[in-house]
Amino acid sequence: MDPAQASQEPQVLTAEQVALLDLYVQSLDTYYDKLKASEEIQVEIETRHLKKILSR
Amino acid sequence: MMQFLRWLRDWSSAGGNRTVAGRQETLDPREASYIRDSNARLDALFRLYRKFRGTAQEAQMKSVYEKTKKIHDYLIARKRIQELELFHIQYTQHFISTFTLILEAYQTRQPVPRAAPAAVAAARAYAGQELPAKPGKQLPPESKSLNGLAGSSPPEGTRTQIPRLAVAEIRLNPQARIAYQAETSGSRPAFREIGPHSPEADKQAFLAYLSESLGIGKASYLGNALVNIPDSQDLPPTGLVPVIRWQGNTYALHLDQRRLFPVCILLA
Repeated sequence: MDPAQASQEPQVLTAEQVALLDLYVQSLDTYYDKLKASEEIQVEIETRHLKKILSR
Repeated sequence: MMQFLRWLRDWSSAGGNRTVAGRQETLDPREASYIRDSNARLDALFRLYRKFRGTAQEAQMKSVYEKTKKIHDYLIARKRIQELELFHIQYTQHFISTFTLILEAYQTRQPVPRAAPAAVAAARAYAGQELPAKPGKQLPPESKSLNGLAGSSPPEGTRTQIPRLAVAEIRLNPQARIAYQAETSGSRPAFREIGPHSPEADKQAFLAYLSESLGIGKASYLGNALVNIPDSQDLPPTGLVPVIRWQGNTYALHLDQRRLFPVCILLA
């Protein structure tokens, strides 16, 4: 599958499959962002709990 | 001061799923095997990326690999191993299966001598369907699982025609009667007719004929239908055939060739 062959014949993936690949990359990004967000939420929970303890 | 911090920690560990900082690497063998599986999946992603080298999608496959690795590293660092396994089942596994199938389908379409299952694999890839997620423990080697799927599909020419499997929908003809030849032992072959309005004895005779010639045991006769059976050598392709219900399924019969075709009956 050298570049010359790729330009002569139809690509390995159909247009639909290329779009699928794009969507998957996007979904990976979204997943990673959700992970980061969940960590921040966890920090927030812990912080508030600590504040509650300290303010008693 | 230290006592105060210890008191705080005791307070906090009384709550839900708090973890003590600085725990040991893996709590149980399950987590270790999840991490091993995750690394195996990363290897599979990397190999998939290498196979796409030279195509326009090379960069995207590389970024899939890198982002997955980033998630892998992140979750392991935070000891969220269950989430890592869940992530792979929901995302990575489907991706690997789908694009491995696409790749194999592409390679069998080329005039490259490759022993690869053609029809079923290609049809699945183009339909965009995904294989059901396999449990995390088993990572099927890519070609082996596909061989199981395709079974005995015959290898075809360079431009593979992907057979479209479908259950044909037919309508039963309420008047038509079919003549068939029943070999009765000893005497001459008798021509009999069978149709939806045939007397019960005739229908029983037909079913007895079926069980002798085709080995079909308990079946029920439903009627006749006009169908088109491609590549039937002796008869013209379009003709009336009997339809039976056997083993819970409906079939149209080609009597001379002794073939059954699964059908479903339209009631409209």
